[in-house]
Amino acid sequence: MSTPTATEEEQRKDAPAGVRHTLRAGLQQFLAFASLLVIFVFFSIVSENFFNYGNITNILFSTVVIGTLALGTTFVIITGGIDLSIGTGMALCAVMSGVLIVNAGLPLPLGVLGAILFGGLIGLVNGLNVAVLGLPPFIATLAMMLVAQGLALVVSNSTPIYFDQTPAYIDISIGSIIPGANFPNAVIILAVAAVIAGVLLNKTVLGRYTYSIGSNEEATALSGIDVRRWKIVIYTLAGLFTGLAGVMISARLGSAQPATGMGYELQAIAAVVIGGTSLSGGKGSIVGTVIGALIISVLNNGLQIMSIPQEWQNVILGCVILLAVYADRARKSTTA
Amino acid sequence: MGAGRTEVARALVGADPVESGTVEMRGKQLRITTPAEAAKHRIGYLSEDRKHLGLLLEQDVNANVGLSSIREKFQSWGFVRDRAMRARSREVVESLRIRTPSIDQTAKFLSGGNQQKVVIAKWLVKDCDVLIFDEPTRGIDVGAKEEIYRLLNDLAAQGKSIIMISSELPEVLRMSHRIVVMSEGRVTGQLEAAEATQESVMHLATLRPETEAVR
Repeated sequence: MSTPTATEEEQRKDAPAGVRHTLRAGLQQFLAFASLLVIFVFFSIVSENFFNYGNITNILFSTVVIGTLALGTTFVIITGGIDLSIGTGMALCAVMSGVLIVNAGLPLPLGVLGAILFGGLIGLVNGLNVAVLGLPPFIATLAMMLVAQGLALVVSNSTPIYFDQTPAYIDISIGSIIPGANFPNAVIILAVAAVIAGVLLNKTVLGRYTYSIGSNEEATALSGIDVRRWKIVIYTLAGLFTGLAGVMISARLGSAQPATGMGYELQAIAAVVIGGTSLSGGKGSIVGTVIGALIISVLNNGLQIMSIPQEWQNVILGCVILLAVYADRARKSTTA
Repeated sequence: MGAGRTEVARALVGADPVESGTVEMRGKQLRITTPAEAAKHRIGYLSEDRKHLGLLLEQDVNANVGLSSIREKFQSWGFVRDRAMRARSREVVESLRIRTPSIDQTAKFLSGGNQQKVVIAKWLVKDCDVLIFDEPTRGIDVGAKEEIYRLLNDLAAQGKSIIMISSELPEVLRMSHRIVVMSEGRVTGQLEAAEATQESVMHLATLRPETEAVR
């Protein structure tokens, strides 16, 4: 090893945490980001309807629900777990929002808060099942997926709840807080949620433990960390994002649709994986997840604009997921 | 080995349930059911299987060194005080002479001896009173072994209690003040350093435990 000069040494030591993080997670995010760029440029060239303000806003708008779900589930996946209940959990939270705001007539902020907290409750139950009862996350959250779907139908009597009387609720998603810009609030909310998730993952003890548990759960426990408790916290956190997604989707649709939700969890998980988060745990980033979610909606949007049938869109999305996982494998074998 | 040493250590820190017996420290009986509780009482356990039970191989040195004490020492309001944690990491890396290009190096790229030192560093930063070292010198080179011996002696000199589990007799005889010998899951004897010899230890180690002898 050559001995670096004192100043070099100091510089390296004092590089801000953010820079180091970016460098370390660099490659994985770079790949995802480069793919997003390539897809973006491709659609811009092949279709003249793709690159304009209206359509870009559209793409961002359609990223919101999957993106919000993906943010929360990134934490769970980094711990090496999985959460299959987020899709139908979202539908249940949407219904709860309807029940609180439309049926019970609660003020909007309270209703929204209630729906989000209810998501947290779903997550808490998942966390207890996984951490205390020791159920495999796949099974625990698969069961919750069914429970949430059923409950959404039971609570709503299998009929949608409409927010016609509370236009302010609908404006949470499609209104525009920026005057004259016609830029949906939902996108801003997603951006804020992403920043919060990023701060939680990178700057807090919770974030560090999330990575530790995913890297080596047993070693983390033997290091004196109450792994059970932190897993419960992490699943609850994912549930809060599910609740937020429930609010966002029902505000966007103007109604809570109890029979929906199934399938969203897979799209969200796909976004996380495309973003470079490893399903085996210990690695991942919020930036990657946001890029992953954007890739999915850019693909959907671009393929739609090119009038490629829905069936083929799914085939292509599936191939993209495979590519992302191959890239992850290839990276691992070169660095190991 | 099947003598039950690791099992006792794991039970002491609550990694496995205690079947019988009690744990006392400074005359007070402790109820420890998880390693987290053990850590609260400032008892740390360094597993013999450092790759699987000691290190976060995919994480950097800094994350490993700070892991046990991040909540206690390097946070305010849930936020990691990164600067303080990194400063402390660099400090121990230097004082333990862990050979790594920087504290940002991924743990899996370090040599066995240096990995072991990272695990030790983790518990040093935690400032434990009782440290249980399970086969601390297994699979590391002679130079690193010597350094770890020196480190253990330093810690003992600072007043820390160290339980070293080892099956290497010369190491046991050289390092210990008191030797407890186990065989087939039972304690077969205790020796003070002065009276311990290869023969006396081996004799106890090969004893059939009393329960067996009675039958």
